[in-house]
Amino acid sequence: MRSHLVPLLVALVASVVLSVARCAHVAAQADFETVAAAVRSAYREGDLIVVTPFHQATPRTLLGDLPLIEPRRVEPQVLRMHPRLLVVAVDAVGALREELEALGSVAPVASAGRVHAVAVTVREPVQPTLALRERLADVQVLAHYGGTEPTACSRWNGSRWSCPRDSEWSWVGRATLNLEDGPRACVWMHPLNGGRELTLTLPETSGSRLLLGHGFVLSAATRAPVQVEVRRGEAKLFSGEVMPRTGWEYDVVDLDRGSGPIVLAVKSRDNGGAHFCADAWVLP
Amino acid sequence: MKRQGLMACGVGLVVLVVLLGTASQGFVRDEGYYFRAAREYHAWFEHLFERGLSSFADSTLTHDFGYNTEHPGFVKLLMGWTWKIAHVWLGATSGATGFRLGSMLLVALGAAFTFLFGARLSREHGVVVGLLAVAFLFTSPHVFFHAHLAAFDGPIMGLSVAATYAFWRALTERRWLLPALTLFGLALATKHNAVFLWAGLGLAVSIARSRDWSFTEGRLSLPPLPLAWLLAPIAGLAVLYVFYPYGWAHPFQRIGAYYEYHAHHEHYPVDFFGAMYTSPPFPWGYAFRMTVLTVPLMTLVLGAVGLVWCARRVRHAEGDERMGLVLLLVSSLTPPLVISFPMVPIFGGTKHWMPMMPFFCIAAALALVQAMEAVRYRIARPAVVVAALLVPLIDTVRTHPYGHTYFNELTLGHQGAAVLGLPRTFWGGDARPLLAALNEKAAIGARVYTHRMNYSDWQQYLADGLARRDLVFVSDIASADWALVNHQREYQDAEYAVWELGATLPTAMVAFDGVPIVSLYRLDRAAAR
Repeated sequence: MRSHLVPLLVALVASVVLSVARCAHVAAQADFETVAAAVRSAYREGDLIVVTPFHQATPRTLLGDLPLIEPRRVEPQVLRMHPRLLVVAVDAVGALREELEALGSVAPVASAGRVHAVAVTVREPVQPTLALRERLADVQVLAHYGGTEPTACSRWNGSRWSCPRDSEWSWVGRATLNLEDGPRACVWMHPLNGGRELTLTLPETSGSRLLLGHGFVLSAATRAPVQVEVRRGEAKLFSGEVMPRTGWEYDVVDLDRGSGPIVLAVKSRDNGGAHFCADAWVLP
Repeated sequence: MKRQGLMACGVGLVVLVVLLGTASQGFVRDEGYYFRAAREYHAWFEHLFERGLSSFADSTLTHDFGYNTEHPGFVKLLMGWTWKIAHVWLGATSGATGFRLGSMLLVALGAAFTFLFGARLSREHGVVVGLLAVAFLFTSPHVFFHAHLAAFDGPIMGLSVAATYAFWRALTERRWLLPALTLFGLALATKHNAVFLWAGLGLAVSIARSRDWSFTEGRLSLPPLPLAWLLAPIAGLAVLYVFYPYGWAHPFQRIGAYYEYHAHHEHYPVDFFGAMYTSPPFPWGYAFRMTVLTVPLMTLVLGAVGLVWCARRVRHAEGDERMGLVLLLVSSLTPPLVISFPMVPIFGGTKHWMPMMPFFCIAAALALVQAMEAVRYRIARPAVVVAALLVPLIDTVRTHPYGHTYFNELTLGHQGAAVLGLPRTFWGGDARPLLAALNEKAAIGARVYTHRMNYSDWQQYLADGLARRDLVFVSDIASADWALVNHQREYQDAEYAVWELGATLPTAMVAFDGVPIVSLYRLDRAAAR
């Protein structure tokens, strides 16, 4: 008969222990407010506030007016573009505190209860000489519809260049999209139909490498891959195929050949599901 | 038995009062459609005498019942009447709660029959098992949430257990035949998944009477099928016809179209362990796996133990008890099993296999009673009940009115579910508490983008005085002054679009354990341009 008690006792112990563990991962609003006030005081131009774990939304309600991200994974190549990170870490499920602190030297900013803030002075920061998303207004966008001359996507509305045909989706512009790994601020560049090429000519700048990030929108990555090329003058610096799967990936392109402006070209044999977004940074 | 009947009425009444007293959930997407349908259907009665026989003309029926024909009319007609009586005539409830009352009545009926089923199954501890089963049922946050809504999932859960109980009784008592057929018909007139109820009853009878199967001289001989089961489709379709006025003039065409619609229902995105499924094949065992993550751990363990105990006892049980045990097992497993096949459309969360829960909770109650029996000192037995129900009760209260966002102890709640990539919310009804902030802060005539809250829901908020009447509903973020954003991964782009317009600081938020469920943003449209 006693055996009938065993499942109850096991469930009871597990339930209580796990419930206590759940509560132990919940931070108090007052602690968030204390730490947020300190972070706001410490913030200076160029800093990036990084909240971890990504699902903790209270920091955004307190600091959302400042540059702030809630990454699902640590991407050193992008985080190193900021000289200093203000990491707001909550003792909650899924926090990436150690990975973020490994990016540089750490100085405490504030700590209250389960909420902690540190300033991470990034080791060997890399300041891009050009960031595509930020300089999009200076980019020349051309649609190669098949005539002798490409057609300029010349209608600029402050955040996007619209192409003459199918302008509802055929545009190149700033977007923050839902990729597999969360929000991704990028440049929407849906390929043209019929396998035709869309090119972005970047403003001239100096640099030795191009960091190229790209990915497909969560709901649309089902059809054909997108071909991406990076050219400079006559030189083809990079040619790759981005497979139609969700998520965000990086390629690094050496800018050691060719001359003149960098051209980013995309095309796809089936553009219907190719809801493609990318970004690029020229690194010194 | 009479005493149990009275107690069942008491259980139903208590459940109804609790539901009415706690109906503070926001209006979910489906409710908006059903509010409107209930109002439009009810208008037919309002004009019945004035129109006379022309009320029954196909043009009138099509006009009055031609909205939301993808679901039968029973619950919507009932909701129309409860709205009229409780809200319009008596002024005792808000408009929305008036509609919801119709659905709650059927949930309360289900609670009463859950009690009766449990009480009848356990001759020795009948009342205790019945009461514990109801307690487990309504301390399941997902069930408690859906039990309030003006939708069909609470009612079909209630009618499933009621029809199953009546069917069980009708197998041995002729006086239960009519109630069994009526309740099955009402289930069929509530939601299409009642079809699986009939299939499950047939399966249960076959299993329970498997000892009577014989195979002699190359011929399989089966026991006769019960009359209640044979008549159920005929009676059920008759009741469905009565409660589907849209199909009165063209029953085969229109009722056929209704079933056809559900046979080819669209697929909704399913966010499951980090992967977004938008088309088949869906993950095997989806419904079972979600049940493991969304039923409180104590209820889950005791329910599983109870089912195993029932399965073992079936081998030795006889007659009525054997039938009851098999009905319990089949009714617990059929609803999630149907949705667990990879090609079956998944269009929503846990509510679609909720008819399993009364039976699963009876199994949990049986296991708990056995555990109580194992305690040597009788005086300590109430403590066992408290120990079993305390955490489920706390979690139900804690997550109310957002019980559909609950994940159990195994996932470490909302935070763990977010990390595991499980759906955070589904039905778009979570923004209700943010309306107060909107009412307080929005300028006169401000335009509001409501994301997963649909226009009918918005209208009901206006009608019930929960949103200011000068605020304007817009379906386009770019033209909005304020935006509500549900943190539902497949629709998360809305928040990022808000950010692109320069609004990155939420004005208010509903969150659990720090995990956002819905956010309110103020958009500065002039600045965005």
